[in-house]
Amino acid sequence: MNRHPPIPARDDDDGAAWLRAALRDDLAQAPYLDDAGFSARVVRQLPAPRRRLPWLDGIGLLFAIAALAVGLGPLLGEWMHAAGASIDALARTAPALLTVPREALDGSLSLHAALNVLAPLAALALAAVLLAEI
Amino acid sequence: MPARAEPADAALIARVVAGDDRLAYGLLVRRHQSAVRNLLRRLTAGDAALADDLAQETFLQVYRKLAQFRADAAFPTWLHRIATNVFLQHLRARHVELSLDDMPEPATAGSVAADEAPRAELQLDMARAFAVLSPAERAALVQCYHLDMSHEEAAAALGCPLGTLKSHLARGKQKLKARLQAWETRT
Repeated sequence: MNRHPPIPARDDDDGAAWLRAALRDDLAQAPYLDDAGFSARVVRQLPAPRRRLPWLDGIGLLFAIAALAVGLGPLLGEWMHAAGASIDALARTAPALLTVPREALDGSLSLHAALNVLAPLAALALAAVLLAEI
Repeated sequence: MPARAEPADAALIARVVAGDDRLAYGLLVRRHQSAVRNLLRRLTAGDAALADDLAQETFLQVYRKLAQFRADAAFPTWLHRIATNVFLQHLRARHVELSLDDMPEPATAGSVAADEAPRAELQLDMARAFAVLSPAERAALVQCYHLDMSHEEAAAALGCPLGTLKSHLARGKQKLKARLQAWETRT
């Protein structure tokens, strides 16, 4: 059986249209080669599964602890300060506990005050992400 | 129960790249192994054992490069390009001459016919015709006329000047044409 296209007497521009068609037909009509364990052999030869380096985990843990410290430090300080102030106020006068900060009443919470809260929260979020990665 | 559709190449590739899914890679290899091994059998002039060794190396290289594959290209074409490169690496490792030096003159239709005429059942198909080409001619023809690489790309892959590549193509086409025409005239 003629398996390749007829070769023209005169070629096209680079004389390759018949060859292109012949190669395409040839490879398309090539018999299917049974896998016969070929793919299994390839998979067995693949490099070992990627493993995380232990020292990278250690560095991640250090960063997580640092981020926790950065995040919790100011918040704990604020809470300790507030607790101390509350105890002082309680010692002096109970109504002082009900005192609302003037900034809140004015609706003019400063950027500095906002950062004091947001920065530690961001650090805590970073710490959570790092710990999840580890 | 209806048979489940096979996952597309892109889905399998995504599973391998994202999760190093070896089952998915095994499916990908199983799906394309026949075409790659057939291509390499052409390039190695029918040496099935060598072709299979090179096919294994091809799929190992594909695994390492899979993250570089861009979905805008056809996966089989990308795969076949790597297979051709593996064949060329094999030739270089074996110090097979890829230049035009010391290459035999292209066969003519007349001499081919004289060589092959005694065998009545002769089938000068592409496999047999490819066997008369030099390794560089086979690689050049496959690159340019099967993988549709530009002459510049093929020359770079072969590691030869553009002029040498064109000579490989011209000689290869001439030899193939002579072989196939000789076969056509007797069938």
